[in-house]
Amino acid sequence: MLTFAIRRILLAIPVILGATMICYVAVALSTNPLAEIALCSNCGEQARQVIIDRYDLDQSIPQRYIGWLSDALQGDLGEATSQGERPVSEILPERIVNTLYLAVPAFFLTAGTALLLAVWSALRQYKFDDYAITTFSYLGLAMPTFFFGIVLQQFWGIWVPENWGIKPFNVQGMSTESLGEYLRYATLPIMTLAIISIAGESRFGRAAMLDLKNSDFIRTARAKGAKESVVVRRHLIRNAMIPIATIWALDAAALMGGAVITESIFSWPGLGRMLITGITSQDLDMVMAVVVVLSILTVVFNLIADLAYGWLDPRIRYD
Amino acid sequence: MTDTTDSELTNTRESADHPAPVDEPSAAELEVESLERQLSEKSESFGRQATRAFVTNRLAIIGAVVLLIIILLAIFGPMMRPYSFEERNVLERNQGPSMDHWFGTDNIGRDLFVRTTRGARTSLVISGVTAIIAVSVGVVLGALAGYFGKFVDGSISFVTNLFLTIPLYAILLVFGKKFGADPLALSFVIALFIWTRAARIVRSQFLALSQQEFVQAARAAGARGGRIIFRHILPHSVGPIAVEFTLTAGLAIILESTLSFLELGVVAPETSLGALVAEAKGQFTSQPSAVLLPGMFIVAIILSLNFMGDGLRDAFDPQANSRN
Amino acid sequence: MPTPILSVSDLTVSFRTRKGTAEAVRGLSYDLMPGETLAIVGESGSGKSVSALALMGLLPTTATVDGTATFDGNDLFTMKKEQRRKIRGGPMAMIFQDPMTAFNPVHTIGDQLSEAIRIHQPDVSKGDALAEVEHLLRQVGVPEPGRRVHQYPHEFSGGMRQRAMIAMAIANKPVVLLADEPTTALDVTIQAQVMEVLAEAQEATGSAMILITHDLGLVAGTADRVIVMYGGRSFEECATRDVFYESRNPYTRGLLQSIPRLTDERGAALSPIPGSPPSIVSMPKGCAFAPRCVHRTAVCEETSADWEQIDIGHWTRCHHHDELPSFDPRDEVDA
Repeated sequence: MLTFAIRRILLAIPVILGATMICYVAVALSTNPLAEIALCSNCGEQARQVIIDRYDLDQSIPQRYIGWLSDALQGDLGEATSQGERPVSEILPERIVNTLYLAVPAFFLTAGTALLLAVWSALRQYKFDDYAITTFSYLGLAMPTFFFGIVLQQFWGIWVPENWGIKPFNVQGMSTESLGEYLRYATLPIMTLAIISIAGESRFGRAAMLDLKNSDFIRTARAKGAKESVVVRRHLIRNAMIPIATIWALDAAALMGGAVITESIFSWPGLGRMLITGITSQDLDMVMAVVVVLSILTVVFNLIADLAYGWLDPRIRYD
Repeated sequence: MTDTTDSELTNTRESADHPAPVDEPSAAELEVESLERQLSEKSESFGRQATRAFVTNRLAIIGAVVLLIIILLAIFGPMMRPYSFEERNVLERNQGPSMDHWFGTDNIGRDLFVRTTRGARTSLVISGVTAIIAVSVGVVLGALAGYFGKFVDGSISFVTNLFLTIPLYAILLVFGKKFGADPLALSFVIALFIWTRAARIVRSQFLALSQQEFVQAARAAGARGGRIIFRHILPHSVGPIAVEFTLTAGLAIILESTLSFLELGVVAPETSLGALVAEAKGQFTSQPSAVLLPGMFIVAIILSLNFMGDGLRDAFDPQANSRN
Repeated sequence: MPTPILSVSDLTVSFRTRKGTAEAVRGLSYDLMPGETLAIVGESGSGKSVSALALMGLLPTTATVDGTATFDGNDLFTMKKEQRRKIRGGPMAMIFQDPMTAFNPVHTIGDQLSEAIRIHQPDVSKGDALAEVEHLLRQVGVPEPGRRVHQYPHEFSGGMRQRAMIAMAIANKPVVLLADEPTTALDVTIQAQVMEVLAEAQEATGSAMILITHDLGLVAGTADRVIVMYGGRSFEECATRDVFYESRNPYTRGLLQSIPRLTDERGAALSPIPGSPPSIVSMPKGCAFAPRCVHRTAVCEETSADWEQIDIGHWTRCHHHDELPSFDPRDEVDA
């Protein structure tokens, strides 16, 4: 198991590097810090030169990448032009933490609910419960995050206060002053993030369990005289956890990425918002930092998925 | 006098030497179906299988019908009313659905039926093109990787994994700002990051199919790689590829509408379903239909695609678990 | 007259399928004496496995079971679920065909066998159960049981897995063992070994065994009595020797004739039974075997024959059983 883990971890490093490379090229190709200058009528050649120097725009992209990489490895991620030139390495941790305030609860909510729904509907296949849950899954999968988010936001943020006079949830911004305040701001974004993931995961989990339900070893467990609850727990769920745990890890990465939209809608000051602000104001350093962080997280979560798979399924540990 | 044909001989021999567990009670239905299939003369072509999928699966039919309706609306909708999609009629702004304005008007007086159907057209076209590009690229790369294996597979898989580590939404936002305005460029950009799904599926299909005997037979007959891929293996993969196409199209429309919603995709003067939702944001209390209608179009399109995909998947692999 | 440990009467199992109701087992009846080995022989689709699963109560909910199965004085099919569960894996245990898929891949063999023990003997501690598992593995001939107990199913070879499965089945000293094609999934060279292990295990526990197989060769060495099944029905039941030399049923004879022999000439034609078994959803009217039977007449196509006793311990189901020519499977086959 240990060699398996170490090997996987070592393999991840070149992948991370490759990913940062592609991200840099993508960002470099799609952003143009000089665009702002083009619109500015009384900016002279000097202003242009400042920007060119700052971002090394006169160098080729590979050279710029190397420059960025060496800076980054020393902890220098540039300055955020849209945030008053604050060092990105200062802003980044704050923003990551804010996003985690959404992503972590959303993850646990999703994982727990989806598992419950999956087990429930798999055990009650063909009955009404199953159909209800499946319908919900279909709808959830077909709903774009932004649509769900915007409807929630408008409904609770404007319609409910106007028509019912109360405002249980705030729909813009964030607060961590107290648990109550936190929940007031965070509940809707968390639900937005979670509901769609729950739909997908429960569908997947249900499929995984239905697949297993008719397995020979389940029959053997019953043939031994095991109680049904034991069969479900020790055999059905335990085996279904192999694909389900890997989906959890992959979804966790997706959750961080999907937070981008949710944060935009609810004005939550996290990583996603940082990205959007950076893009709209062509703040190269910020954009690059966010993309790289998300990319690294994706690799890390994929790695976790791999390791979890190895831990849960003894058959693949010794490859 | 033993009067047997070859197939009958194989049947009895097979059951004597290698009894597949057709006695398994949980496989009674499968046994029936597989026996029927075994005993029928030829294997079904894609067309027949697809037809069977749709005929037996009500959800798939509903999906196909709904999608067809939406496509027809997208094509003919803007022509059905006397208003152009940019025409403003400030006196009639912020109206709910009525006989004049079937979906109502937005806050600067434009007819929403025309705008929504026009937006649907844009969204559908972009998603369609995106899916075609993504699936084509995916199929080619997946086929090459799965068939040739070893080094080709290694390098293609490496590239695939690399693309998979790129955060999808983040990178699309970055690209969208620059390329979003041109619908074709937008299609390319989105396709650039979602081809990996089709590639993975086709690759595993080809890996499995390449081991089968009919491929060895074709090689023995002197057929070369390309010919084998296209004429022999690919026909067998059409099923999963078709399923993947529906799913990719669904993903494409989610991505396109999300980008357009954030004003990083389709921008004015053009419009798409996502952009329409963004525009109508502020009207939620006064006229919720302005927000809900374009969104429900999106949901309906994706639902239909998913139903169709499921129906197709059921037809090609009846042992797949979702017995809906 | 000793009492049977298991008495099956008119067992009928039907399934609801999308294409209608399918009867996998129709009116099967037999008695099983303590310590006896009864072989149920038939092709795929004959209903032999289904009948065993019905006894264990392992059929899916789409199945309907009719008839009675009296075990130790109680009818298995009308028992309370909880009572029946206590019988499964204890007094009545089953060995399955494919040992690879029959074990849970994520639990060790030791865990899975201990589970079997502790279900029926809940007072046994984990440690004691594991020790007992080691002892059982040794009994069935698994080498290094102390080490093997901590291994996973995929680390065992096919033959060892089947031995482990036998060990699991006898862990609670069953009085009836159901063995569903126990050697079919194994290499021929291993088959004999495993059958030996099975025979020894049966002797050690003194249990009766129902051996389900398609392989008449297997039957010859191990069974006391044989039931031949076809199309869900029993077609013949008799002592093992009689099946080979005194068969009074065209299907049984066809089976015997279709076995190639070492003494056959090279290049001689094989003589399988023409045609193929019927689909359980569309059974022919009348005798299930009629379409393939060389002795068939009009009455065979109309009605199925009764289960008739033609000698002591010998039953058959055939309209023409007394008109069949004398038969020695060692004879050359007529073209």
